[in-house]
Amino acid sequence: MNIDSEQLAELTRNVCQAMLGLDITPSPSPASSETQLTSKVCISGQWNRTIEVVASPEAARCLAATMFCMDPSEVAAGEIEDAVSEVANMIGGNVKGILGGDCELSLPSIESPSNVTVETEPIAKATFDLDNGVLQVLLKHS
Amino acid sequence: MKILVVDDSKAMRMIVIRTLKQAGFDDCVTLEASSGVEALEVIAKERPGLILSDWNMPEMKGIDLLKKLRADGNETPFGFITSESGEDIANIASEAGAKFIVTKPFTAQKFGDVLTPILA
Repeated sequence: MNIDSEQLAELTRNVCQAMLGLDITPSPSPASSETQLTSKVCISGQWNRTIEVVASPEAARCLAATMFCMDPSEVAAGEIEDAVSEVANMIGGNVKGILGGDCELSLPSIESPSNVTVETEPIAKATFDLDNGVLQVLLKHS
Repeated sequence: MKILVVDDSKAMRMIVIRTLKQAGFDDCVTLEASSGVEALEVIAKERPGLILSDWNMPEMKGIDLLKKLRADGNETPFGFITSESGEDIANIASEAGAKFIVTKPFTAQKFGDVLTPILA
C-alpha cells in the first residue's frame, strides 16, 4: 500500500480545512530556509514510514495563530511548535489509517535542522502556500 | 455537566473545547488535563460527567486511562478524540468501555452526532 503525492495533498488540505478553517493552495516550489520548523511522526510495524511537516516561519505562525485564535504576532514559540506538531500528528494518523495493517503511531517530535533527513527522497510530497510562507508535507521510508 | 478534555497538546484541547461550543454544548463546563495522570487527579476532584481523551499521550495513554478508571469502578462515559484510526483501535477502545471514537480531523456536526445521545 502506498500513498501518492496527490493523496497526501488531499488529506493535508482536509486537515487544514476541517480543523482550522484554512484553505491552503498548492505551491510550485518549497521555500528553502534554515529557519524552517519541522515536526515528525513515525509509523512503525507492518509499515515503516515517517511524516515530516516542514513549515516556514510565516506558515508555522499562521497555523499557531489559527489554532489558538490569537494574533500571529502574539503566539509564543511553544504554541508554534505545538500547532505544527498537532498538524503532523493528524496527518500521520490519517496516513496510518490509509496504510492499514498492524502499526503504531509515534508522538510528534520537533526536529532540529541538523536532524532532518533532507537527503532522503520522499515517497510523496505536498507543498502549499500559507500566509506568504510555505507548508510542506513529506512522506518517507523510515 | 462537566466535560474533561484530555490531550497533551494545548492546541488540540482548545480546538476540542471550541468545537464543543460550535456543536451547541456551550452550557457545559469544560475541564482540561494534559496527561492521563493529570486527568486522574481532575476526575477525582471534579467528577466530570464525560471524558474526551486523546489516544497517544506521554506518561499514560488514553486507553490506559480508560482501563484504570474502569478497574477502579469509575463508569463515567468516555470517548476518544484521536488521530488514530482503524478497526483494531476501535475494537480495543470498545472492549475497554469507550462509548465512541472521533477521528481527527473532525467537525462540529460529528461532535453533535456522537455527543447528543450521551449528553441529552
